[in-house]
Amino acid sequence: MKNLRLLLPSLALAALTASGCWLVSGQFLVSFDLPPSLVVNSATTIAGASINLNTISDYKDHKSDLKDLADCALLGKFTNTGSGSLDVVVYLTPAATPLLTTKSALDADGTKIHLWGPLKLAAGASRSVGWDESAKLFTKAGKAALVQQVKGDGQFAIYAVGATAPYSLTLEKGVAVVVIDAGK
Amino acid sequence: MRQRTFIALLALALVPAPAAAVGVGLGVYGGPSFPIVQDNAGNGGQFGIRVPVNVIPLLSAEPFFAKSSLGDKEETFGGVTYKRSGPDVTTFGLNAILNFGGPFQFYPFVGIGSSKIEQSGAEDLTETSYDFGLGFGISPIPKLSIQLRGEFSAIVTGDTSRKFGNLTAGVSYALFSVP
Repeated sequence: MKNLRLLLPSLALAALTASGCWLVSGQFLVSFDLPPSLVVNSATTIAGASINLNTISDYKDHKSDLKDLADCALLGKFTNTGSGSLDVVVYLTPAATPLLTTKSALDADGTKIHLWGPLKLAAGASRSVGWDESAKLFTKAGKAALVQQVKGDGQFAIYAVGATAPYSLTLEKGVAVVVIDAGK
Repeated sequence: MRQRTFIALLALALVPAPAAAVGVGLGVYGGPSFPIVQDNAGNGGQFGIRVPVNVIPLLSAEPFFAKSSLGDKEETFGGVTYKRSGPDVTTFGLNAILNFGGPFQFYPFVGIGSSKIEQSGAEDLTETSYDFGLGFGISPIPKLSIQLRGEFSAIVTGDTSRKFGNLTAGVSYALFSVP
């Protein structure tokens, strides 16, 4: 009887400790505001955003314990300012600076990874992309690259462009959101 | 190591006791579920089914099914509020329960299971989960008992975990017992 009373708590404790230190962990939200308005035109200039997660305290606090990404999203209001329909795609480049400013420079960048999209927009249409919708638009390769960047130096750049030129778009009040999975 | 723990629990729960009565029941339960240190999930609810099998005096094995629907999470960025749909968690598992008392029961329990986490736009995760907690029961009439439980549950996702606190109320009915 006495042994049995001790058995279950002991088993619980054994199960917890046997599986490592996963108990001391959590999922923490880190958000990074993009420039208030990104104006992109394939014929003239594109505008990217440098992201430095090290400026965010939640990221700095948990960076050394970071294991994975639990969630991610790219939020904001996308507008197709062109005259044709548009597939918005977002690329990630490991180099946060200098930002590329032309379509040809982005096309020539061999390090870029298709991070997100396509998001379809008719000519002149706007859409505020919510968290659920945005989470679905990440590519597998893009998510893997994002994990690598978040677990690395936390600095990278993203570019919202059209899948095919010519294109013209804006992204307003953009926010990059990651939920980091951190554990001791 | 997880397998060893699982086998130990199973062995403990299912060890035969020829001289003792064997009873099987069926229970349903539900209550709130609280994610712990999870910024992309809100408070939600849980319901499930339990099949307590009394194999030896004091000890029951309890296969269970649990379904949790966690609440949405709202966050405001740059003056705009965004909503993230909470995840659903489905678990099949087995609890080992130490039974104390008669009409008023008090019982600690520990369990292991397989849990699937589904969240819109995220890859489904199916991982091992562990739980432990305390339960209180009362039998107002023979064969029927009302159960209240507080439980801590953790789904192990590699080096980290998704943790939940669950408070449930349920009803169990003893289907049969032999001899």
